[in-house]
Amino acid sequence: MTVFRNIVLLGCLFGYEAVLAASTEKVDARIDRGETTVGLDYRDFEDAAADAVQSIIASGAVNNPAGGRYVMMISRIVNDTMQRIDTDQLIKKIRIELLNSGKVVVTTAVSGAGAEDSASFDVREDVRGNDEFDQSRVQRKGTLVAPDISLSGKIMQRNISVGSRKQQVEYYFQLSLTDLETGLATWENEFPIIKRTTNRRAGW
Amino acid sequence: MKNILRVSALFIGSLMLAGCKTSEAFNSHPNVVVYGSHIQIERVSDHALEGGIKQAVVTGKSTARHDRPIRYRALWSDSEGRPIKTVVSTWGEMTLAGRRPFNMEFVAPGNRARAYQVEIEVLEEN
Repeated sequence: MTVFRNIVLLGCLFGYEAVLAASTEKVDARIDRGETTVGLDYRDFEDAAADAVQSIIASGAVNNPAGGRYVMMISRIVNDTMQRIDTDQLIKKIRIELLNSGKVVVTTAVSGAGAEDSASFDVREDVRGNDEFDQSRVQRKGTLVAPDISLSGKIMQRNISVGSRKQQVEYYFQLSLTDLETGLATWENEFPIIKRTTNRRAGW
Repeated sequence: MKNILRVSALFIGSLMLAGCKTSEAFNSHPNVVVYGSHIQIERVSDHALEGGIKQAVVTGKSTARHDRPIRYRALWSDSEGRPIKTVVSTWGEMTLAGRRPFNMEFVAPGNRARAYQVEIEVLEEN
């Protein structure tokens, strides 16, 4: 009898796994109308990035009066939410769009947390003066381009009780563009995303 | 009694037909396609911002009695009609208040964006 029960239980387990496997589907992000999540998902980052890019471009803050492109560095982006977020989910989208707009080019040699890509310094330190390398092709001193503007920001979260059973989860994407010559913020904006859900679903 | 049943059957049948009706797309302006009903496009304009980037503005009115959720986006293309893949073409969502005007603004993703097509889709017909 016990053997029979174990076989039935095993069968149920495999059946459940099979159902789970069959329910996995690839999402087409361009038309996805899946259920809204309590936490931040890719749609929230896309919305915030789309709004931010349009706002930056419309403000004229990336129009270089001297002509040509501004060189932008990515400064500190703080995650002040209760979730583990890679802030690049937001910033990378903005960078790509600003680069494609033809108005901005981003430096990876300087960022809020040191060089984003240390290769610019590695090649100078390791290769310069090394007889094994053709020195005529080694990067010269003083060729790195300093940034003109910096992008900084913060992602905030606030949880507010709505009655005894619901919660309102408020996310704020706050971004600033600073002119590094003057230290003045030439563009600032805030993009709120508000979600309301039951206490049970907001499990943090 | 038979008449009541017939009228009820007709009523239920018409409701079912209305439920099965698919939302139709219509162009009320060459640059705007609306998927759904009770949306009146009143004006579509575009101008160049400082730096030569295009901005499009769509104004219209919801002629529905109730508030309805919609989603909208602008698809941009270059001078040769090639679509530009950009995050600014992500669907945005908003609720159109019943019998109230609305406006939408779209900023092009760069100077190479020359033409645009705005799509408005009603998510829940009342």
